[in-house]
Amino acid sequence: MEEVGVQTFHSIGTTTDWIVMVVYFLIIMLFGSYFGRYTRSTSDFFFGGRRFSWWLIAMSIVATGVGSHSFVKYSAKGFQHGMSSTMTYLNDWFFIAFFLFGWLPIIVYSKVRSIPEYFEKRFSPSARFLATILLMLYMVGYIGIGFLTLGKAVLPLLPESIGFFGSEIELSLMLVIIIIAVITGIYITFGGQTAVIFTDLLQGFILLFAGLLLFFLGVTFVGGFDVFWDLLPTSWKLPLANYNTPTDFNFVGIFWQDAIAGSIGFLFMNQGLIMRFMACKNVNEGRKAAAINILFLLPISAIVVGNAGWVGKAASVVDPSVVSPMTSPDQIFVVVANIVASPGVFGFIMAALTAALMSTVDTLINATAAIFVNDVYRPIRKFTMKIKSTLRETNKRELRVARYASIGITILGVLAVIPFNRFPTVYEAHGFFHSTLTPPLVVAIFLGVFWKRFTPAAVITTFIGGVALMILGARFPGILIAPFDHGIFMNPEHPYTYIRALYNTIVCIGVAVLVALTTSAQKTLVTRLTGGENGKMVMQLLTFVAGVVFLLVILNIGSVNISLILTAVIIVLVPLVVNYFVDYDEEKHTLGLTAGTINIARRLFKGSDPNDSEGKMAMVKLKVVEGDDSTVRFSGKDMDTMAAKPGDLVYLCDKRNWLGGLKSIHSSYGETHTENGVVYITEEQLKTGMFVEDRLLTAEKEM
Amino acid sequence: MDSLPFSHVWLPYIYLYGMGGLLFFAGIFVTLRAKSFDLSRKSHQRWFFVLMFGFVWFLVMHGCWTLAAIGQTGLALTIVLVFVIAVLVIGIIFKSILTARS
Repeated sequence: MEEVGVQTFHSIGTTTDWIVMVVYFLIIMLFGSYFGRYTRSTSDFFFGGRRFSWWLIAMSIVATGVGSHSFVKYSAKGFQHGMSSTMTYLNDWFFIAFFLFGWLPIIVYSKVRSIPEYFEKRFSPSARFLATILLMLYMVGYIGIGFLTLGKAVLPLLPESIGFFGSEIELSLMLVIIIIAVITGIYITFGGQTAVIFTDLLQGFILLFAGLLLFFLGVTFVGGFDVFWDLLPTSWKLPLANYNTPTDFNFVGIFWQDAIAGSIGFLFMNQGLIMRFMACKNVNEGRKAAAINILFLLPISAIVVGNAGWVGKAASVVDPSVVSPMTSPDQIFVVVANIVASPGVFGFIMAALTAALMSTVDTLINATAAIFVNDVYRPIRKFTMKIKSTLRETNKRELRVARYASIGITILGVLAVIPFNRFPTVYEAHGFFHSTLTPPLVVAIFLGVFWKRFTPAAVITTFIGGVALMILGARFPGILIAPFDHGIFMNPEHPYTYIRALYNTIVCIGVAVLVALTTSAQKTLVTRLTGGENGKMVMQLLTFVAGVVFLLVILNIGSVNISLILTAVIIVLVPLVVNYFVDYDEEKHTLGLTAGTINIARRLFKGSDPNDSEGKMAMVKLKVVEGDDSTVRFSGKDMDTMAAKPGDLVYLCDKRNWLGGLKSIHSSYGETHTENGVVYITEEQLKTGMFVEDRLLTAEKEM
Repeated sequence: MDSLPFSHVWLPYIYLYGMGGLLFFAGIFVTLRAKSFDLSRKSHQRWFFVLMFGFVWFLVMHGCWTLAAIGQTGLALTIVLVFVIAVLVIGIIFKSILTARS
């Protein structure tokens, strides 16, 4: 949906640009396909085999983060509001301690493959089921946003219509998106996580280069940095937006939508990002990747993705006929790039942008497929199939399912574009999406990790009761969200696009805390209700009533007061039902799954007490021997260098650092031998690590 | 130079680092209390330094950017210089302490 009077463009670019774009895409796809051959199992397909160095993952995250709709949406806001378009990239540090020393070690050490799996281990299978639904919605929505942005980026390059066998076909946004989706689907289906990580690595570098090149060309175009800086009004130069105006871009709304819901959502529940961290060789490498990314790469990225809008604004001040102030904000990136870059360079910049967007969508599709296989397919298969198959057969079958799932998810992502396209810009669509879908999961993960007393009853009620209150907020924003609006005017067309995140977060936290704190009262009540002969029937009746009431809330029966009463009924009934039907032992279900039990998680991960004495890295040659595939053997002297003991965990890697851990394995130390500087490994380990026999390896103790 | 209201220049900055700072230090407090962030471990001591550096890094970056935007470029550059020197000095002292302990 475009605003009235906004100028849109078609057929931007030259034949040279198209040639450059096609060549770029071919190179990227070949590069990805080359690394696709390192996919040997579902573990490789989804997690890249847990072996990569921090720098590789950090750069790979750049492509995922920057590529994700950023060029289009931040250039749009940069053009409309100035340098405050950067604020969403510079507010992720506030939750870093929670992530580095809470969530990251838990997901690695608990060996969960997906976020819903964490919910089953920490709470119950029913909590996993609800988390899967919410997470799949979140991921598919994210894919939809990615496709919408891709379509908006590519559309200005294309003519309004093309001739096809004598008839004119209009190149609409949806048609372009469908074509892009087909290409994206093909790539991800045959690649896998290792291919995505390496493609993203290359694209991370290219994206930063292309964005900075555009900034340099743009600033030169308007007459140098001093001229550029002086051309911009003061309000355009400020790094943060005005406190509570205008409705479509205000600081306080974006703080709650992005710095809080968005940052936690991105760090804690974006399966694509989580999988990147899981692909790191160990927790500390994951920490380094996250810290370097937020501290240095995101500030650079903020300039990279928004500068086209700033340059566009400056150019429109110099000469409105060069860049019209009425240019469609979502097209400003393409328009500015076309004006300041010569043919060929423009093609390169556009190729970098679209390839990065595809990269983001690839990652998300891959991640959603991982959730599907892990949280939908495997539980169903476990439930329905009695015959056990070999590991090889299982891997082969799951890889096939993952590929089919990727195709299905791609189709759903395209369908998700339809509601998002109703917003004036991608930025607002994305803001609304974050504000609406992240709070229940974010609250559930956060309290699950950091609060031992958070129960299955509390988490399930947060998912159901919290969502019911969020639905009421969306339906009656002037009554329910207004008290939290910080003075932001309510636009009736898109009420409280950003600040609704605050309301949604507060109601979810409120429900979660209330239910968790009243656990003993709930248990007493359940005991009383089920004390008679028909106890089970009573609870089944309550389940039915809760379901009907939830349906009534969804179907919008009655006024705000009636809806609030109905929601209160849900919040009372759901915990009772969950307490009755779900077996939950706080000690057992929190062991190694909360921040307070991370040391136990480390012990469980290793299988014995961690060895934290600090050793050095050892340089060794490999020797293939017959033996146990689960251990590797070093000399006593090399073990002393690494401060390692038999049974400790070891990471063995090709010495060439630039490979970033591609050729590596994890194993345990076996009994010592007498050949210093030599590691004994088996033929299978040689194949798994993809080691070359005469190359030096580095060995370091993990724990 | 345009004159901008407090609600555009400094209020968002105060809100961002007030509310954000509260969450940031709550994160450190909670993880320390849970012992998942354990300052008796040398590697975690290094991480503590990185966490603090990061917070001040963004605080200074936004502060100086705001000053430069409202025309106080000289003051912004002075703060950047002081920040760089402070980080170097604290970094050297911190590293010396860690080396001496080991």
